[in-house]
Amino acid sequence: MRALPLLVLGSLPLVLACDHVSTIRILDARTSREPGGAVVTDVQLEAAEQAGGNAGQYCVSVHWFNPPFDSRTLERSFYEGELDSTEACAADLSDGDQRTWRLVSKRTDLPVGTPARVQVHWSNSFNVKESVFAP
Amino acid sequence: MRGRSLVLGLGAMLAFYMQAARAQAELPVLTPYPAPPPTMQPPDTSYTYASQSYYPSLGWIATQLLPSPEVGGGRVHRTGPDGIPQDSTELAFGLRWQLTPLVYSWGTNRRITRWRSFVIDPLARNSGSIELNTSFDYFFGHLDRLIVRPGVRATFPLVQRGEYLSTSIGTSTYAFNGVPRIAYDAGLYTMFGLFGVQVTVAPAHGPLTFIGTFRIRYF
Repeated sequence: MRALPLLVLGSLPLVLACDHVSTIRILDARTSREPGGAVVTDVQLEAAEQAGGNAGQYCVSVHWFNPPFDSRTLERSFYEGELDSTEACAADLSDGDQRTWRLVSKRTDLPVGTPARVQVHWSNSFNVKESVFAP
Repeated sequence: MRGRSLVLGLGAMLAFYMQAARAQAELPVLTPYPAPPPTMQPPDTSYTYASQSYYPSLGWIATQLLPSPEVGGGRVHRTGPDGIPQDSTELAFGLRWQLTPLVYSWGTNRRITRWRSFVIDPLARNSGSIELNTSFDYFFGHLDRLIVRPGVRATFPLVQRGEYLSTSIGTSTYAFNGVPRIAYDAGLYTMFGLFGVQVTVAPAHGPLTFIGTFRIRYF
């Protein structure tokens, strides 16, 4: 019975760690081209929220750049000099949920091999995926 | 004539007494009856004991490397590019390895140390103990990752000081996709704790809400 107070004491730091952390990962990003020339990017996201709840508002976007693209470029919602960008925002992901977004470029003349940065932005945090190119 | 007889008589008496003394000297020593109790050295009342000195042997390493099979899973909610959501419960097979850096056992003899580190004899754990432990779970399938899970667990004896049956409750924390999680576990063990079942529940973690482990562990 002496173990119970020790167990409770040992668990206290775990219980006190109640600042709910959430994150949204990019699991995959695949590109294809429509017959009209627009580039379609399917972005698969996965949310995680510590308490099992909603991960909150997020925006997923694809930004196209002239090559070569410097991957050290700081993440932003909008980039100077980008060729094209498409964005979608929602707040529909809870802990463990996965969603695939289909983002279609506005321009239909993106050359083959044009580099893109796929990113998801939530509560002042970014997750990005590089090495995505126009097919 | 009389004097000569006196001398002869004295000589005869002397001879008789000498003979008697010789016979007396040759008599066997008679043991008294009843026989006196045997005298023995007093018992050694001092008490000495040695603390065990466990060390990581090859056998210990081999048993630590032996994984416990497990199945984990939970709810997965997927929405495709067409916007149609799908709910499913997915399971993944996994393997669990365990290390116990520290144990305090209250079930062992009070004269020996109650602390153990890494090498934990079954009696120390199953006779009543609390431990700091770390589990390493590797899940295949849709999870496909290694989860390192430090935690605290208390084990209580149920039958025969835990050698026949013991139970445990515990809690642990781990990171999944960079987000810290908390899990709770309960277990039932038999055969000196060698075999058992352990259920780990993380109520707030959708994709890995529960883990059922067939625990194999000796040290």
